[in-house]
Amino acid sequence: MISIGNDIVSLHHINKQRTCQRRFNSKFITDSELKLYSRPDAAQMPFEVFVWLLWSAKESVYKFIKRHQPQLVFSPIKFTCREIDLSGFSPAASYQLCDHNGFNHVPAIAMKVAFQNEQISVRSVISPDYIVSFAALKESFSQMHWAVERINAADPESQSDAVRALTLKKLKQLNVSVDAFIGKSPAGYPFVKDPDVLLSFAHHGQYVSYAIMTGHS
Amino acid sequence: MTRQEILDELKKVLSPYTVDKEKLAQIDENTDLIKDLKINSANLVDIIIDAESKYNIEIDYDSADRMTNVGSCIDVISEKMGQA
Repeated sequence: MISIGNDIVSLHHINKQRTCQRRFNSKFITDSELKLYSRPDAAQMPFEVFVWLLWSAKESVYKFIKRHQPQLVFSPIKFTCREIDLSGFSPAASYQLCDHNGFNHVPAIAMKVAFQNEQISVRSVISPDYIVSFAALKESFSQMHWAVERINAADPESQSDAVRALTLKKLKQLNVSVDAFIGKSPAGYPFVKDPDVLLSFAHHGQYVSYAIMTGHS
Repeated sequence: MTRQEILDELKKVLSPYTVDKEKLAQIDENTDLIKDLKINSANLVDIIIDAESKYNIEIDYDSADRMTNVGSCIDVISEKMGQA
């Protein structure tokens, strides 16, 4: 299944106290996923970051699958995170926001998310301000272009305009033919005229992000 | 509670997560939470929890999945309150 998914969570827009309540996080994290937090390699990660990491991973996989199942509703408890490799997590890491290609150069967390009969790979990058997750076939990550941008206004229209402008700029750089105006499919994902270009957008609070794949591997 | 009464209370549940207050005031049964009200998906769990507290009900996973538009939210809330 060739597809792409992206989700971002602004850590300034979550309620830390509520996140840590089992009544809240049990709506989308199972007991077995919760057990993953007690492993030694999770020690450096604040619990609320762990919770939202799993949420953003599941949401990115939902977007990945929705491209092929347009009627799919997001039911996070049906997505299971496993094989979470937190060795890439570095609480003090900082890196530029924009113009990334692949994930080898940043402290990225790898995991798999199972849904129905599929197991989709996810790469997540965490900063003090946000968690961003990308879902793709494992071999595609090295070719994925992605970026995060901090914007001034957090209303939906500003978020949408900002991520489109950011993506168009990148598409031009990549020589993708862009009299492309970025449309939105009925299933809710963005697209341009060139069918070999896959896009996924995300926004939350003052952060927007995109993932682009040009040409299929 | 009538459907209209539940809808009026639901507006208060949705309000903290909705930027466009005018649109919120005008919601009807067909209003989609994400597509029309632009509620961030990260807040969907907040809405479930807040609805559970407000109406003193418990919303299971399958019911929560159905709460994508205002009409289905009212359906679920009515059911859980023991009304048809």
